[in-house]
Amino acid sequence: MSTCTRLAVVLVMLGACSAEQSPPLDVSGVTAYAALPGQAAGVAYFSLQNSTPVAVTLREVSSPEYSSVEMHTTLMDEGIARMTPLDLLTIAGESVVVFAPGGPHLMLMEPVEELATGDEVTLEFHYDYDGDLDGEGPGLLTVRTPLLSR
Amino acid sequence: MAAALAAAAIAVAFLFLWGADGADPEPEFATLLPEPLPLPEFSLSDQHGEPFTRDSLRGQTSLLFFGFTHCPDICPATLQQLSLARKQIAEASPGDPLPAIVLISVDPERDTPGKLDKYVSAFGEDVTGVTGTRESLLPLTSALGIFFERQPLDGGDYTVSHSTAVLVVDGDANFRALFSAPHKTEYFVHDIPLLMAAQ
Repeated sequence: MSTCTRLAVVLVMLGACSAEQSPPLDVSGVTAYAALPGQAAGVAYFSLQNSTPVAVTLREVSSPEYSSVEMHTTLMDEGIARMTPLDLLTIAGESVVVFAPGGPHLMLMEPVEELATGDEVTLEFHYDYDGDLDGEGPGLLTVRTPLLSR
Repeated sequence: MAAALAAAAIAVAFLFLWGADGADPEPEFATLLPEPLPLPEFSLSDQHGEPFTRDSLRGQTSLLFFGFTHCPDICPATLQQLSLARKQIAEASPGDPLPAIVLISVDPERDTPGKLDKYVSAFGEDVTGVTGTRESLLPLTSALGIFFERQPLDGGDYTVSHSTAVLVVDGDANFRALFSAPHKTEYFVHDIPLLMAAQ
C-alpha cells in the first residue's frame, strides 16, 4: 500500500469518526415534568443544537408513552403570555434553539398508561434538512428521560 | 498621627465593605408602586370552597399570581419558582414571617375548588388556590390591571392568555409592588424580604 493510499484510508476513517461524533441534530438538558394533578399535559424542555451548516426542520416529536406530543410556544407581549401551537420548527445552520419556560415547549398529552415521577419516557424528534447535505434524508433522534415532579 | 491615619484607613475600608453610602439594600428586581393601592372588595372561593375575600389577605404579605391549571408552561414554572424562593428565604432567616403564595385562576370555568386543591398541593404547603366566576374576578383583575382572555384552539379546546406578573400585596391588603416576567427564583429571594421589611 502506497503512502498516499494509506493517507487516504486514514482520512476516510477520520471523516467517519468525525461524522459519528457530531450528529447533525443533538438534544441536551432534557427536563420533562409529569402532569400535575388537574393538569391535562406534562411538559418538556431541552436544547436542540444543529451542528450542520444548513437549516434543519423539526417536523414532529412523538413518544410511545403519550397519545400525542405537541410543540407550542409561549409568546410574551407586554407581560401577557399567549400560547400558540408550532406546526414545525426551523433551526438555522450551526445554531441552538432552547425550549424553556416562557418560550417553546413540548406538551406531553394523554399518557397511554399511568405515569409517575421517576418513570422514564422516550422523546422521538423527527427532522429533516432544508437543503441537500451529502444525501442525508429525514432523521430521527431518540432520547429517554425520567419524569420529574415540580 | 500614624495611629490616626491607620484608624481613618480602617474606617474607610469598613465603609467600603459595608456599603459606600451606608444605605440599606433595596429591591432590585421588583417595581414599587409610588403609593400603595388598596385592593377593592371581591368575593371568590379558595380551594376548600371557603370564601376568599380582600380580608383573607390581611395579616400576611401575599404573592398573587394569575394563572390556570391547564397552563403547562409559565404557570407551573412561576409557582415552582415562588415556592422555591420561599423555601430559600425561610432557610436564610429562620423564624421570620414568610409570604403566602396565592394562585388566582383566570380559567374559573375549568378550575373548580377541588381541581385547584389537588393542583396547588403540588407546590407545598401554604399555597392557596382561588377561583370563582368570571364576573366575580373582574373587580379584582380590573383594579390590578390583570389581563385574561380565552384563546380558541383546534378541536374546540381553548387556552387562556394572561398577565404573568407576580403582585406583592401587604398585610393590609394593599398592592405594593410587582415582579414582571421573565421570573427568576433569585429575584424573589433577593427582593421579597426587603419588600416585607419595608412595609
